Amino acid sequence: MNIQPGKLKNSRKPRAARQGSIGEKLFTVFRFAFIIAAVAGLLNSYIYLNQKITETERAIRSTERELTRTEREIAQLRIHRERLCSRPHINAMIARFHLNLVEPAVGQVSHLALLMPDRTATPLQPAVALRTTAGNGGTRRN
Amino acid sequence: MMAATCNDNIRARIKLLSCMLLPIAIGILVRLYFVQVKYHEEYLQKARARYTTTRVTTGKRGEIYDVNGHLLVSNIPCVTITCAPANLANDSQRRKLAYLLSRRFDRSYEEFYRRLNPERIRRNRDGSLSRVPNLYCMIERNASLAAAAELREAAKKNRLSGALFYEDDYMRTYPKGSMLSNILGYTNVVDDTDVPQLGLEKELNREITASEGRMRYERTRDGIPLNYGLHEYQQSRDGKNIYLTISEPIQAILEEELDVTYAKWRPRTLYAAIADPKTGNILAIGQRPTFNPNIRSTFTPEAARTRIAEDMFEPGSIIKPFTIGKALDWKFVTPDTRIDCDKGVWIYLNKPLRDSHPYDVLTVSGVIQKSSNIGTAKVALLLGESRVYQALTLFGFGRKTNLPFPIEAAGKVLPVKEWDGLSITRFPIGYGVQVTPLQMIRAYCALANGGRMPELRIIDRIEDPQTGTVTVMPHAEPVQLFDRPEAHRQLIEMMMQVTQPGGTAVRAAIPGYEVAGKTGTSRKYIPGHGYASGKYFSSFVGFVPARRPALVMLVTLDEPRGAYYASTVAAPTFQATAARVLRHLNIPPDHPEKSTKHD
Repeated sequence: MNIQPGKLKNSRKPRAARQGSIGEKLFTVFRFAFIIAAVAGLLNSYIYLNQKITETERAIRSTERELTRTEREIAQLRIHRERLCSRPHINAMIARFHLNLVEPAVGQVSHLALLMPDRTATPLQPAVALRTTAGNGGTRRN
Repeated sequence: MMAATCNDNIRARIKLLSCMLLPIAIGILVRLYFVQVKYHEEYLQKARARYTTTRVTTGKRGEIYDVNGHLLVSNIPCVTITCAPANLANDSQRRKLAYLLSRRFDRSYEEFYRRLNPERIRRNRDGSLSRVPNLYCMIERNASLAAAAELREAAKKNRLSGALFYEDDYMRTYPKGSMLSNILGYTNVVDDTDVPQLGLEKELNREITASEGRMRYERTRDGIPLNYGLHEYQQSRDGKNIYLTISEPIQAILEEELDVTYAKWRPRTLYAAIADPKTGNILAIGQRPTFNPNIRSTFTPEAARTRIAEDMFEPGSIIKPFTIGKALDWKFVTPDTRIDCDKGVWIYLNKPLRDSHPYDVLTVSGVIQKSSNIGTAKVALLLGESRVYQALTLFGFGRKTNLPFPIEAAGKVLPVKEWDGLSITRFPIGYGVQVTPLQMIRAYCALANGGRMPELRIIDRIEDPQTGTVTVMPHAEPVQLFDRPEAHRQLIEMMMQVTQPGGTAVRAAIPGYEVAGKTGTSRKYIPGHGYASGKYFSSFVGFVPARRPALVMLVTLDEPRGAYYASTVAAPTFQATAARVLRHLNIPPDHPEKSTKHD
């Protein structure tokens, strides 16, 4: 289809011959290439960072899930420990294993220490009566 | 005339096309204006409503600890397992899943198979029935983490994971079982919310309850949160942790001894409490019958109440030291004042008052030691009605202890204007007045604490788990109730004789320690019927060591069987419990040489 406009201007001047050295032309090409590379680089960085953000967020969510799971397990173990430490359970174990244990006489125990696997004792802990916790009736003079 | 050229035609067509396109473009622009500018917010909200999700998160209910941080009430992690039976591919998978579930949970294979029906019948609006895919059925509420993990693994192995859904949850739990259950209370679950029913759980609900949090985020079609866009997060807050003044080892000792007493004397009800007289801190408190909050079948109307705060009883002789103490303080009598006890029967206003054993003449010390009703009544007559009333109310009878229990009885001490002629001889010996066990403990704390009455405490501190802030509950300044320390000292000396040979509570004596206390055996008053025959309240209240008390303890048995004298049924419980508690607290004996070798 002819889409030539009706009035062709005859006065149009022929293009002037290109001026400039080869160096300038190369500079133009390099400049263009540099801009393209910069844009591509930026775009690439953007995509890369976005990908990293997504991966990190996924890792965070996964770690959070793991953390929640661990916390729940810790909570369950803590309750289990409390059940095992309760007096009825201890009494049942004493009866089950026929342990003829008796409570210490007053003044018989002054300090408590736990032996570690390497047979060293943990720092000395005051006996329960000497604890100065608020209001447990345990702060007494000896 | 020049014929139209080809270019002219083209130009005309372009103009025509432009004329046609321009309104469309204008229309689009107008529409864009309305969509993007005028109704932007409205459309944005509509869109957000479609791709934004709000998740409500709930914090954990606060925990309850003893004074040393031993856990008494907590929340155990659990998993609620549901299933979408429509996601099961075929009947073979349905059978396989039903088998896996029946192996792990308390329901039969048939029951699970029936539940896993991939279709369900729905009633339509017009009343007709239709079959629709079954997308939800409850498998197990509050399953343990181990059971859920095991099921998850088995389902994965059998390629059934797509049908099962797991939701993390928490369940209120009481690791120490029935210990302190009447005080701690319990919760029921209503609409996935813990609703407190009794005890501290109910009274401190405002502090313990967790606040809800909200998370708003934009999501994909599958519900996965998007990394960009709206993301609002309002964190939920866990409830506050409560630390009681209770000491778990002392509580355990008390509970063990209560079990022994309850089994031996089979009373209708048994109450006991141990308090630190200096601070008013309750170290242990218990009652029988009781219940295990983890086992609903143990809940009975008699057991599932805080009866030690709710019940009132006529205390009998354990109230005598208060009238006599004030008579000493106000110099109406001295320990050596001699009282004629009329050989066991005294007629006053044509009504007889009896002693359990006949005495001729007793000193005031002897009146306490032998627990003479007649002697106490005659001392009360010396004081007069208003002073007796003043003495009883001074020690807190008729006034609540204000411990944080949902229901607490105030007791009953009638004002003087409502007294009849006999009241002055009956109230001082513990008839006609009603007290709660807690009021009696408070009053004896005053005697043990040099005459200074502390306010009872059971909440030691409240901790905010988010901020770590600890609020210590204030100690009220004890009120001095004796004008003369000498009178108080004389009263303690008298009460020490009660547990010594010749006293009424020799069985409450602890070798090596000086014990002050008082027995009380009162006939039970049944409203509308009067005093019941053969039904008694038997009580012992005491403190030890008498001159520097470490603890005050009350034991009350309601309708013991086999025996009813407090010296027989209540005093031994005091002795057994207090001896163990003293050993636990490492309280040195007053007379080490008399302290026998423990077994």
